[in-house]
Amino acid sequence: MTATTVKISLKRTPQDYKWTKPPEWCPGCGHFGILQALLQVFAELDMDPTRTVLVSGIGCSSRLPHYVRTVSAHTIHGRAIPFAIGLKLANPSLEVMVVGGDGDLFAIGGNHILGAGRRNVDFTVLLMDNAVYGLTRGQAGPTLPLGMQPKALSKPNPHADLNPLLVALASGFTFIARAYSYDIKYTAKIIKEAVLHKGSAIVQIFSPCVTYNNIMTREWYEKRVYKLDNEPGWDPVVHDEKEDYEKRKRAIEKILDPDRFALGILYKNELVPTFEERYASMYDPNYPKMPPAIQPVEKDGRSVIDFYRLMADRLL
Amino acid sequence: MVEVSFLVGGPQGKGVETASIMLIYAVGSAGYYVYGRREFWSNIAGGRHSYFVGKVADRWPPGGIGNRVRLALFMDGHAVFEHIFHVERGGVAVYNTEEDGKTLESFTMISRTAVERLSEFFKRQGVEPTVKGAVEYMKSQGVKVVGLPFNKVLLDVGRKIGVTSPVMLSRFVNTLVVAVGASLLGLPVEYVERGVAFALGRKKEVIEQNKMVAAEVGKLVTERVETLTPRTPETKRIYWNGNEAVSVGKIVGGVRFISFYPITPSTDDPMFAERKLAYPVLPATEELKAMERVGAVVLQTEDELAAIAAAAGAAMAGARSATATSGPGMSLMAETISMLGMAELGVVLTLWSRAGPSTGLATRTGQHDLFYSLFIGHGEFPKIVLASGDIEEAFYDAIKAANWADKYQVPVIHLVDKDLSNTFAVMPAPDPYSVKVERPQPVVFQEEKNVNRYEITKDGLPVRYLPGISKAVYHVVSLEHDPEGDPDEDAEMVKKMYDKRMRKIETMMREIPDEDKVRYYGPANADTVIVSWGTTKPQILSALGRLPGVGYLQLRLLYPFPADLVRRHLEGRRTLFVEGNYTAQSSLLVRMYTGISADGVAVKYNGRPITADDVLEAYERFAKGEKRIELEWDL
Ligand SMILES: Cc1ncc(C[n+]2csc(CCOP(=O)(O)OP(=O)(O)O)c2C)c(N)n1
Ligand code: SF4
Ligand SMILES: [Mg+2]
Repeated sequence: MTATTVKISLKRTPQDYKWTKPPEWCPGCGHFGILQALLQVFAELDMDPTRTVLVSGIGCSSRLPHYVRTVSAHTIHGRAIPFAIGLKLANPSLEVMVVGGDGDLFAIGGNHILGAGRRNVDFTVLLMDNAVYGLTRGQAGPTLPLGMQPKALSKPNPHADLNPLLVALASGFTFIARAYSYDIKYTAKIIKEAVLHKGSAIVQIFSPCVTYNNIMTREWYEKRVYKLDNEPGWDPVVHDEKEDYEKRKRAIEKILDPDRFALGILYKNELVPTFEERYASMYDPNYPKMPPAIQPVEKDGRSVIDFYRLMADRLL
Repeated sequence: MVEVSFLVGGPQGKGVETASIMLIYAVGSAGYYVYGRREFWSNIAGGRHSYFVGKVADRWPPGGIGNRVRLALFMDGHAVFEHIFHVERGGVAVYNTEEDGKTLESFTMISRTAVERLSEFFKRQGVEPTVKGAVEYMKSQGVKVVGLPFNKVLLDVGRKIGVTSPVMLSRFVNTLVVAVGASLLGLPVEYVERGVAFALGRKKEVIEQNKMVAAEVGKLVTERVETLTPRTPETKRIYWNGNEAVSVGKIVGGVRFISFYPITPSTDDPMFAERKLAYPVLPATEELKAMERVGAVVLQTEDELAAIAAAAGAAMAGARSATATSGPGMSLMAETISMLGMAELGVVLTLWSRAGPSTGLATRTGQHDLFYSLFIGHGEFPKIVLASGDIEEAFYDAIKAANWADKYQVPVIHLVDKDLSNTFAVMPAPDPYSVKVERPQPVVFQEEKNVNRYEITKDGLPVRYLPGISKAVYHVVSLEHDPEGDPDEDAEMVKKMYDKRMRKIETMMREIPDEDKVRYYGPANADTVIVSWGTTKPQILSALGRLPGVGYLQLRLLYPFPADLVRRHLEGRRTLFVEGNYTAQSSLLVRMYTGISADGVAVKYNGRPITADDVLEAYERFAKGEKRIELEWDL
């Protein structure tokens, strides 16, 4: 998160971040909790709605930006991450956040997770994970375990599940966390940390689909989740580069646990330079001051580029 | 009047490109204009044949490229076989006599199809299937042949300059052929030296050695094809290729966000923009004066899906953004192009089209993607497709494309091709400030405000709000929506929004000048008009010089289609459509929009560009009554 997003004025309330229309999700859908948590975080951080951009793909989850009073883009299935990266790199002073489902972010859009991690752009990804495709009526999502048969499936799932946080960690995300949507307060706490993180952050939020996932229900999750905060001595933060290997190893151990699902921050490393910082140091020192979206490109209709100097080595 | 066509051919990756650049720059620095194109098999340095074919003249444009050249420089025996029919009567071919005994069969990198075809031809003609035999055949066709023992010459020269390693010496072959070529062209050696220095860049010692090679080798040749006396050019000139011209056009046009995934023949466009970072600016404002240079984000993404999505995001942030690709990449971009239409975001997509479906002919040209550019993206939405005819036009069009994407908030496909991408020229520098950079200003509020980004407007254009700048809160959306930008399927709203978006088409048609829609050349009362689009332009214009009474209509704006203008130009005329695809797509397009049917079509789809001679052949056959003419020349 960049310092410019904090505005000195009367602090906004969660209510101030509600858009003009109410959510259209099925009653009881896990996604409500995430929306609620997000509004709380925005209020707590007093985010400027005109500089905060929510980007989503397609899915029940991807509808979330329509319920929030910030700038947003509801794009197409799978492409929220590259869209958000383009937006952020064009104007790094914006606060950019992606929300989407397991299908959107890890099936059709999976390759972009790999691309994003390698760059470590300063943005946040909220994975609203229900292990099914809610919007298209309950088909298997990429996080649905092998052999499971939620009610829309005519046969057990022949695909094994992928582990999104392991993928994100392997790709280079520098903030990896997990939350559970029915625990709104805790979800808000984790989202807030993710937003404040400098670098690419991802939060997997278990968000039950009450209509189609009749197996991975509230009861199912609640039997398995626990909070890392209660683990004595748990410190996911890389304070020194030498610790990185150790911290990753410990994160992986938690992420791989098949029986108990750790909630909380699993890994956090702010020592890795963001893509914006890399760009400024490798390409253009003026980048932070004059990113693409802010640059004047013409004056009275005349291009500001000095063509003759630009092409000096080519003029005869 | 000076006009010499030439060809440099040799194994891919063994200096053909460097040799061509040396020669172009050498001739250019002597005050001449040059243009030509590079043809190659993939980009692998695996010994496949590659060549450069072009023209030098004392004026711009130098005229089209015909089917045969006057000067051919063959770097190896393989090249002799490839171009056995490509040198004109009275022309000169330079080759290595040390390869005389090599047989056609022994060149494993020649396509087996070509080996069979040539073997048969040699048998019929009683020609021995060796380099020597091929050379003798060329002589029998009136070609003067200059044979030199390349390795021996280099050994001799090497002794004088202190280089003896055969590996090192073999690296001078490109300079050798250029020096021989320059001598044949009567070009003083100092210009060759300039070419050498330019082509070899920073390698000081290597440059010196090559200059010495050039000086020594140049002395060996006494024949002349032409005498290029150094001249004072009439204008400031520039050396560049098509990829670079378009890349710079976008930069001049204000594009500051460029995302791409590498693919031939597009990559050199974004990579040039990257290499040129940061860009020098005029002291237009105090801020810019202090900065001196501005940057741009040039982002290599994980695939084309990401490339165009990132450009879309950058456009939403308010940057002028662009991506570049060829057919396979554009296929991956299809869904986002449709989104740009619905969400109303402006992105420039430079389509460097290549030949064939699927991976096809990755390094060859074709005009196969006209329909694909027009119809890409599901649903109906306004877009712009603009096809450039030559390198100069492509530069200006890149600026216009950037303007239009920004102004109309639609995807703009700038349609160019492999032919243009690898067209190299020394030509009059364009006037970079002759095209206005028109940037719509965003609305900026004092106090934070909720706004309708999709307000129903008369001209169909969205009001410009930018995140972090406008102090506005609004939603951008890919679903059909209400003015606030939230999904809405109410029948009345659906129609209203649809109408509003489509009204952009009228607005664009009204505002885009006629000269960007079509250009007509030739007599106003021509009874036959050649109709074409894209990079056939220099060849058609050149052929037109020999077709008195024939006109040429160049289609530029292909979507939205300027039906009235086209009808006005074609009504009552005989039309011959000339283009690089199988189905004569532009003839079908014209029929669809104007009801005018082609009287004849001349098509070429063998991966090679249409030459000026092809155009003449097409016209001749058309005049004799042929309706469908398939062109096949292979240069
Ligand atoms: C290119 C494309 N293919 C398929 C679809 C259909 N589709 C819409 S949403 C969706 C899956 C959504 O699942 P998820 O992302 O997990 O979100 P959820 O609805 O579960 O929150 C699919 C397949 C589409 N919109 N676009
Ligand atoms: S279908 Fe599932 S995910 Fe979609 S709104 Fe209903 S409960 Fe939520
Ligand atoms: Mg889902």
